[in-house]
Amino acid sequence: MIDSTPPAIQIIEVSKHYRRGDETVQVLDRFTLTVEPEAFVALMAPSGSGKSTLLNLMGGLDRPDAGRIVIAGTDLATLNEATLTRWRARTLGFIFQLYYLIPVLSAARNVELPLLLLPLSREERHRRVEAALTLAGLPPERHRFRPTELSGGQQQRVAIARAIVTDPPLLLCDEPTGDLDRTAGDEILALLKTLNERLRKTIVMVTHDPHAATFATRRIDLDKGLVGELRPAS
Amino acid sequence: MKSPLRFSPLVLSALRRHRLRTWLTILSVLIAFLLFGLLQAIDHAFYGGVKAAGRRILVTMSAESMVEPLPRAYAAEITTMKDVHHVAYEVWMGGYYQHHNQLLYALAVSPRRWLAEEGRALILPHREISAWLKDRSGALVGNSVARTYGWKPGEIVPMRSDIWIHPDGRNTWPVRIDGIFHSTKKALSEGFLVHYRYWNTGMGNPNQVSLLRVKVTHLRDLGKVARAIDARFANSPHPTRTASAQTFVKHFINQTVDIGVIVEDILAAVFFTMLLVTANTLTRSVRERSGEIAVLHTQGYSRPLIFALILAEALILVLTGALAGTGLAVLIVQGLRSTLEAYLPYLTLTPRTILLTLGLSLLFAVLSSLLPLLQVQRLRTVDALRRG
Repeated sequence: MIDSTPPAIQIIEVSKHYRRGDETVQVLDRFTLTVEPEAFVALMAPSGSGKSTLLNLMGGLDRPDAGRIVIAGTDLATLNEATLTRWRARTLGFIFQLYYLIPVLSAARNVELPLLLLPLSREERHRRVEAALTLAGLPPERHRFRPTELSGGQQQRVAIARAIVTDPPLLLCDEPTGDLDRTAGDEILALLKTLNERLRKTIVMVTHDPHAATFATRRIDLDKGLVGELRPAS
Repeated sequence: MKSPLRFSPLVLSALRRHRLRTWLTILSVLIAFLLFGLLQAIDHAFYGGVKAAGRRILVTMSAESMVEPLPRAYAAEITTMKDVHHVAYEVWMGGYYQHHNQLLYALAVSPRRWLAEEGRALILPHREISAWLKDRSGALVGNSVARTYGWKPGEIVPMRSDIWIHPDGRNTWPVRIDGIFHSTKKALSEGFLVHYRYWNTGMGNPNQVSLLRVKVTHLRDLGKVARAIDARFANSPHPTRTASAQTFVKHFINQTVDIGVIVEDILAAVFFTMLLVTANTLTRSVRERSGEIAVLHTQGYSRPLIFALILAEALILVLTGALAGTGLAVLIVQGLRSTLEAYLPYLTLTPRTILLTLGLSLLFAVLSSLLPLLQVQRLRTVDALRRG
């Protein structure tokens, strides 16, 4: 029997450059990558090598100069701004180094934000928020706490809950442990690993930390200057 | 299930971020709309009488000055003119009671003609009207002025006037209160009406009047009749100037001060300042939240939705201040009315002002959010996330 499930991510001959003053910086040059569904990929590279750019392209936040990006069978080039926004809402969950939580809203309210776009009752939203926060490992008594009342690790758990609350198949993580100490960082990485293994989320994690990459099932090193070279995960 | 109210915690969170800044902005809006309410009330206090003045009425007075009298015979002559329905006349008594600062809004009028014109606006027993018509030295007074001085029907009031002095040198015009009326017209409740014949006899029959009130048959003839009257007396010893009653009242007020211009100038400055303050608050707020706005975008919040959220934020800021300011203005105007009713009977906040407040609030909310909306339009999600 032939498996007809398309790859989770197909990056085909993608190029991207930026202008920095008079200088042109080529961050991606005919880059090609395929990520299978339910994979946990660590994109490793030093700062400025284009890994965040790659993540933004995968999330449809930026457009490539050349090449194609196909996510779960959808060619992003075919989507206009409005369709892309709706597609992003149901397909992707973003996790950032700086959490980006709204400081005056409780953890639960922060997690509820993506659900406000869906036709759900208040009770259903509440149920999903509690489930996501519990899954992310935030103690129930802290669900009503504001981000400033939580530790860095707990704030990142809230951000992860926010990313998974709509149950998207793909999580894009940009240095998710970059602002955490080793213990808290390991807990977050273990959580991501759990989400990958138990909930079968496809995860692409950008990191410059080799230790973080050990939690992934596949590691891809991007050399500075860029041409993608695939190496087996360590 | 898809009520826009579900976004209210998100909108309110933006306002709760810098509470002091939010409250100061609301305070600036409150002060702007408080001033707007008060100045509109003052404007209405002065110009309310303009609107109350009859639309089909012309006022004819001396072309030389407002205090120069006209011959009473003009009334009969104008009555014969085409498109004129009837003519009434009056003399401004310039009266006061006991002291100069206790002014009386006293007019010497032709009673039957005056009652035919204004009688429907008066509420008083018919017997009091009959008594006044028969009593040449009698007066009808408004309930407001009667209450001020504690007058009762039958009482003799020694009105004085420094303008009209009897040939023997007396300046006292004693009148009997024949009736006290309530009126649907605020200005009338301050009225003090005496017979023209009483004044004319007392002055030795000069047969003069301060002004003539000419009612035209049709509203469309107003301008034509006014020009005809002035043309008729242009070469006489007493040339006239005729204008609509509304124009006359406005002109009379503007001789002292052009309230309208002052009100407009102050409000323009106040609202411009308020607009700058509100726009600045929203712009700073959006700039500080660019990272969060970018994250909302990654979650599926479209730009139009983010625009709507910022507009809602502006609406809450402006409407809260506007409603509080207008409410405060209503309270202040009500407080002032009890003491100033005698001088400014039209001092009030009209429903038109309240509607105008709502309209202006919406307009200023939109205007003040233009710059922040432009910021969001220009915001590149990737750059905002990179800046952090």
